Amino acid sequence: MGIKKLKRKDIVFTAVMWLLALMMLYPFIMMVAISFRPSGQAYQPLFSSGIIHTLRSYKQVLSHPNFFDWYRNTVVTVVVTIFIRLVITILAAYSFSRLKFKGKGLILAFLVATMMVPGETTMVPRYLYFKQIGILNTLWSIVLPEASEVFYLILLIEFFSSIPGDFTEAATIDGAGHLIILFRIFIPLSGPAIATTVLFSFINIWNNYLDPYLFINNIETQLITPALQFFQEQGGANMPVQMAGSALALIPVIVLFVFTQKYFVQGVASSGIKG
Amino acid sequence: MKRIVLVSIAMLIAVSSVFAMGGGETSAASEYDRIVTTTVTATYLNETWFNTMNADFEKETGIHVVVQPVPGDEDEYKAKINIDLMGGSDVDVVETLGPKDYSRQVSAGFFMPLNDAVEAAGIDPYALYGANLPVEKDGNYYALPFKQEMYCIFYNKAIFDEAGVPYPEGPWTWDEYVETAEKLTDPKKGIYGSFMNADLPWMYMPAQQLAVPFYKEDGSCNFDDPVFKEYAEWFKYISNDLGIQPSVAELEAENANWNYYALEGYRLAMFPQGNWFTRLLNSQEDYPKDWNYGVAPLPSAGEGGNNNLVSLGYVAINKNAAHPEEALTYALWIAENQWKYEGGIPAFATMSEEDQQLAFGSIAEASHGQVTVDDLYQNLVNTGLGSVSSDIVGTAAAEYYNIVKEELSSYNMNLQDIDTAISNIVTRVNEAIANAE
Amino acid sequence: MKSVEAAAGYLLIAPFMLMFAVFKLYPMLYGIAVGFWDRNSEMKLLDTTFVGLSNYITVLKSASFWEAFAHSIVFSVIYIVFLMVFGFLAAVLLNRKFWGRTAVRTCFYIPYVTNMIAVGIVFKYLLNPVRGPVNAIFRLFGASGPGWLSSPVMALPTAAVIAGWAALAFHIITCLAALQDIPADMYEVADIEGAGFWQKLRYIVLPYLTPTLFMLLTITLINSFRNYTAIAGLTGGGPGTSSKVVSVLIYDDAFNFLAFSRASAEGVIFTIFIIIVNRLFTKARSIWESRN
Repeated sequence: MGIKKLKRKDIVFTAVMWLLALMMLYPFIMMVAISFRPSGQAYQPLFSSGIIHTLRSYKQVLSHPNFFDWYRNTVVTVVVTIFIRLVITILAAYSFSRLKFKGKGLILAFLVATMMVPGETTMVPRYLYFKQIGILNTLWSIVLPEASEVFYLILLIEFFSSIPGDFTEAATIDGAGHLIILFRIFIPLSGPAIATTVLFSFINIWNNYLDPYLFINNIETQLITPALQFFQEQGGANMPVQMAGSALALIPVIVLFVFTQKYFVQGVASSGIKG
Repeated sequence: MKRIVLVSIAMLIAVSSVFAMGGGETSAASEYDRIVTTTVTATYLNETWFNTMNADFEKETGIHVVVQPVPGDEDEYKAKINIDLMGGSDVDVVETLGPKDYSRQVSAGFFMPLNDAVEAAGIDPYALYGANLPVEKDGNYYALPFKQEMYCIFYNKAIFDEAGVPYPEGPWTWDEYVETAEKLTDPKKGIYGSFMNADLPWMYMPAQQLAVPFYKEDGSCNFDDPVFKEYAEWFKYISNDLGIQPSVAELEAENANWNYYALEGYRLAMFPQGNWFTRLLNSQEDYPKDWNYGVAPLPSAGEGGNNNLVSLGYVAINKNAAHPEEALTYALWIAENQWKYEGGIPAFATMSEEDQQLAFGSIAEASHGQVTVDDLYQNLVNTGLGSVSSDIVGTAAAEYYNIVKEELSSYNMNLQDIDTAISNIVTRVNEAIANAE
Repeated sequence: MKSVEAAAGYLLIAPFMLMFAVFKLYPMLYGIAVGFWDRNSEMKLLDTTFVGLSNYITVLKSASFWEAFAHSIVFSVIYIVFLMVFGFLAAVLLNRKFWGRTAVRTCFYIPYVTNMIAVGIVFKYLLNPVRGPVNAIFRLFGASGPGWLSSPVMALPTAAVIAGWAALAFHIITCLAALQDIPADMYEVADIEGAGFWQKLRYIVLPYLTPTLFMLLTITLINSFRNYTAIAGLTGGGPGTSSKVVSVLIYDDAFNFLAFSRASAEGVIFTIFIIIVNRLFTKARSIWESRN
């Protein structure tokens, strides 16, 4: 009796979870559905009669002369940004978590405070400044400002702080320099934290809309997320084409999510995020 | 771990090589002797005629057109060109959004005065464009009008046939319009006799036809003129009370664009829109429909209100243009020719028969017999109506526009009465005007 | 020895600090400076006349700023509560073993990466008071459902919940990670003592996750004020001004009305507010922690 009851409960639970999952997935399903429709039926319910299905939107996206430029630009930007971000953030995080120097607490507190400045206020200054230093209209205008992100610094500091002190002490006694300690001990131990940084960075930079929209003017230099907004029609956005483009743009992100999910959860588990 | 490091380094090298080559530089600069850059809304990018036009321009003048479209809709385009021009962008030609932002952009010093260059090209713009030429207070004009959007009533012939009501014909009045709409409204079939979006200028359209000024003589807000109140109340009455069109609450709920309301969400018998809408009505592929449309002139708002609403498109040259000479050639060419490609109405003071054929021929053809060249000319241009701008122009126009829309929406949704709405508009607009000065 | 360590410390943070100073800090300082200038109209876009606190006074006196300010707070409170409660609960549920758990988890993460425009379209359709399926359910029971995104009262809370829904994945992942650290024997003990689901939640899971939840709360607090995309995509600040938050106000003032100095002053005032809230929160947290 007890076992049977338990089993039924499990089935109900599984069903409820699958239902919830479908609800979470609904906008995504809708997005794919809309991408196969003409503009004039974009807002119809998921299952409604008289819907015409067409591949026109995908043809329009894929035949756009710049579509692969946008894709390539985005991949390049994401990879380069993550690389620079990792290098400078790991060095700084090591220093903040392990070394003693004057003003450390103050600098950190200041960095954290700047996290709270809303991006909208600095858009115009950034534009003028980037133009002045000649990175406007290049991918560097996205890469360089993104490189030093305080959020990831804090994340790595928390993680490094959780690595037991004996490791470093032993190495220091052996006379190893800081860089050696960092490369031999910290980096190998912080695989999960680095994976977390890479994945969250990837998603955030991939979906960045406002910065490339502001700082890039040439159509062939644009990144994929704002570039989808090139698909407009008379009177507004061309929904099916934008949805088709979004679906195509999402593929790498979803693939990454699905295949790294396990690692991802471990990464957060052992990194500082959880507190 | 080592392998990951190796792989990432290899990837980085591969990627940086692409990075170093691609991106940044425009390849066009080196391939062509003479180029002109132009920034446009993204809508153009997806229009075949736009590419044909630029190709023809290149054939004729040897100047290659580099298009810099702005992703997003018109609002985003406006924000983006403001930032670009302010930041000292050297893009050559700007297709502005017309009168709404023109004077503000001129006062910002974004554009080059065109008087000398246009006259040197042997054109008499005052005769050609008449009142459509945007002459500023200093006697200069900083843009050329290249098209005008004329308002009219589009109607669904099937609904009229079904109800046995004769098709509308001009000249007529808003009272007759409402009367016709009442006959056609049929909630059971989900038919609305009329449709006007809860947006400007529809929320007080007849007041604008009566050319009530938006500013008092001292430059302050004139929205407390009783005519604005009268027609704001009229709009609410026909939407929320008379029910000949969807209630404002419903429109705010959908928060969609005209394309959706007119061609997907509702069955509408009549609606006032600009002639650009013909392109959607003709597009069986994007907007499949099983009814034919017709065109009637905009109803008159009575004495002194025999006016059609008109919205102009301007082309201007950036003061910091990298190729000023080519920019001028392109701007002049656009002003002369774009309407022929776009299937729009030129901003000329008068239209010859040949012009009519050119302007409306392609629309009529694309409509597959729904409308003829004569229908379009008679109901859009030759209506016997005068013309007034459909936009709020002048000091703090963009704020003015937003404030009116916000306050009237609140009124239409019964959040405040009309007097509160109007007094809020006046206070807020005056504040915005003071801030701008 | 100490000075060597300090030198190394400075050297290692140098690349980060340099990038930060050049590409982040400088524009911020510039932005603050703009707030003291008179760039409030198209004629003065590059003006550098010092006008003291006059922009700040204009902003502090303006009713629309305080309205937007109140909206931002309402948005943040709802957003934070929703994320904290449902992120935690979803993680607890997803931590149990059931058939297809990995697939279900992935489904829960998808909204995090889905384009906000697509999210906006779908919710506008779902919540449409006239023809949307949600209100159809209300009508089934004879009630007329709320106007959701179109109702002046409901628009802001609805938008906050949808924005929270889209950001849920981060909370789920973080809580899941922390849940895995709970030793299995704690559950066994609880089972032996006959504790039910809620009791386990209350006496084992919650205490164990407290540090994680605090960390999440801090992050969410900061993120909740970065709501421009969500509001712009869902309500555009409407109906009327009923969901116009500070970030939308700043964007409008700067880019539609070209009043950069005013926009900048609005940003500075709001940032100061966020910093104060954050300090208070940190204080409260340390008091709470010292008590336990």
